[in-house]
Amino acid sequence: MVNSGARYLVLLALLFGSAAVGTMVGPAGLSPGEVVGAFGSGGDQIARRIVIDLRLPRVFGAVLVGASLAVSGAVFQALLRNPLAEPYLLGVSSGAALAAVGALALGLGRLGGFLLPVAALIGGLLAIAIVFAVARVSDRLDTRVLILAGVVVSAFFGACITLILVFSPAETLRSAFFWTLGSLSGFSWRMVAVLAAWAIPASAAAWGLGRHLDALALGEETAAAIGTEVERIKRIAFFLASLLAAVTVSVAGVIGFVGLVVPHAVRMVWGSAHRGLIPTCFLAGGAALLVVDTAARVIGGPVEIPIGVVTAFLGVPFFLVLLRTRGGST
Amino acid sequence: MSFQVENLTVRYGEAGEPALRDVSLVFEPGVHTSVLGPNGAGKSTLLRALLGILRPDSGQARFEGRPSMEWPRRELARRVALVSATEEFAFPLKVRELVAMGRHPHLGSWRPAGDSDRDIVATSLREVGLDEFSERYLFTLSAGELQRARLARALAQQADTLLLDEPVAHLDLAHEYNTFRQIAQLTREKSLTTITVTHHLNLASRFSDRVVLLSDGRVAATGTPQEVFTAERLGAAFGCAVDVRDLGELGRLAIPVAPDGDSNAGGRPR
Repeated sequence: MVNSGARYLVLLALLFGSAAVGTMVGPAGLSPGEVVGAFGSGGDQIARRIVIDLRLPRVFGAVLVGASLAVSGAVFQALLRNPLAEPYLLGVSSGAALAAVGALALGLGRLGGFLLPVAALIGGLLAIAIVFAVARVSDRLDTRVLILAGVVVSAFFGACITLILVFSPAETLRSAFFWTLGSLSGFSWRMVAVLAAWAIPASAAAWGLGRHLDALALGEETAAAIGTEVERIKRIAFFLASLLAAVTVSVAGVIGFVGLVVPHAVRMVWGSAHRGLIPTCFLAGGAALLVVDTAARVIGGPVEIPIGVVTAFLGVPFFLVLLRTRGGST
Repeated sequence: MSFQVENLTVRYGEAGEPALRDVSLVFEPGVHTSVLGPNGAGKSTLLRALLGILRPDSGQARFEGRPSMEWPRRELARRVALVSATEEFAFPLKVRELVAMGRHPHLGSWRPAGDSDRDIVATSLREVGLDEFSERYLFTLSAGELQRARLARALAQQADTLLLDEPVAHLDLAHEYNTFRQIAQLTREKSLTTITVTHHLNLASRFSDRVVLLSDGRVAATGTPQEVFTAERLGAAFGCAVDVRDLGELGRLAIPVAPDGDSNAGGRPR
């Protein structure tokens, strides 16, 4: 772990650099001076509004959402011993989507409103509870059943969503479509606060699980033999990762790819030991989504390209190059 | 005594036949015990019960007088190490990282690894002859090197009790021999309590101080290899006629010679 200090410096520099760029660019471009001026008094009031009320919460939101998804994915991959695991595998996103679409169909919420995130959070929590109840057999949490239960529950919720949408008017359909695409637009300071209050302590807790996640990745028998209380750790890991996913989905919708790819990319560059992997994923995931969101705002001109599209367009080539150059060690 | 098993009965599922029936055994420090027996005799079940990861139906497996299941895992892991044959590697790990996991029970969740931990990892790697391999990825290792890496992790745990589950499975002639010889040597030098589950009768007879022969969940015989390795005992336990030769200090050689029930033992198959 000689280079662990260096990796955090690199990622922090990347994070601050992209935050600066993310604050400057957009429909109204701002110079560095205007951005700095926005923090002082007496500066341009419009620049101040753009920076403080619009761009900064969005920058913080992107970092926290990306960080949460990457940490959640890393924890799920170790817990399920499955490199294909990602934050939405166990049904959190489909539960949240069902609740959100249901709320839209009943006219209870609208895009950008307050009710929709609450409904989505409840839906996500419900999915977590169902999957956990199914996979808990005589006081043991069976991780294979967990995956199966998650996939089945997702499929069922997906069917429910389809059923609702078939009987919905075009306007609901459109809103539902945009919700499921995921977006960070209109991110408020209140959402940042809610997200930070969960994402930061939960990620710190996941960091504390690091050695146990290393152990679990070797199988439960070995994990127990090197001192891990296997059942307790599996539960904590499941709830931490699931709730990280649920909270991000409720405030930002479904943003794929980050939770799957960032942990793999970090492993390829800096290795698989989770005590380093978790904090690195937090920073790398945050920086990655911030870059992607900034690109999404800028590339399409007046039309904002859905963030999920940009995640895939930027993430897939990056990941393929990494896969080819770092040798297929994952 | 380190491990003690009293009237242990273990059943998988509620209706099934017991995997262990009323087994009682004692394991002493400085003694290398090999646990032998046919597939399904209960060898691995015994190991899991000793490790406290299996709830017995009746009876008890105790470590230092306290039921294994009641030990906090971290405390037990500082005393008992396992070399398992059923490990998965979901993600690319380096040899050094695998061996460093042996320090987990000493470090807990938060304490960073210090110089002394790194020294112990380096020493453990040297002891198994893998000091050149520390930065190699596990998937580049041969089966023999991987097995040695697992043994190094157990050594880094600095436990006084060593449980080995099929340590020579998939190993070639020389690696089998070296592994067994090293296990016996470590047991003697560090006065470990060592329990090896194996199908390798001949090496077990040569490198064990004591042998436990399990059959159908029961202890069929226990004692020195000389006492247990007889044609009658092995033949009955494995359900197969066995010829046993005494090779002096090379141990005893057990060779299957005829299928079950064939009294024409010793002949070539027709």
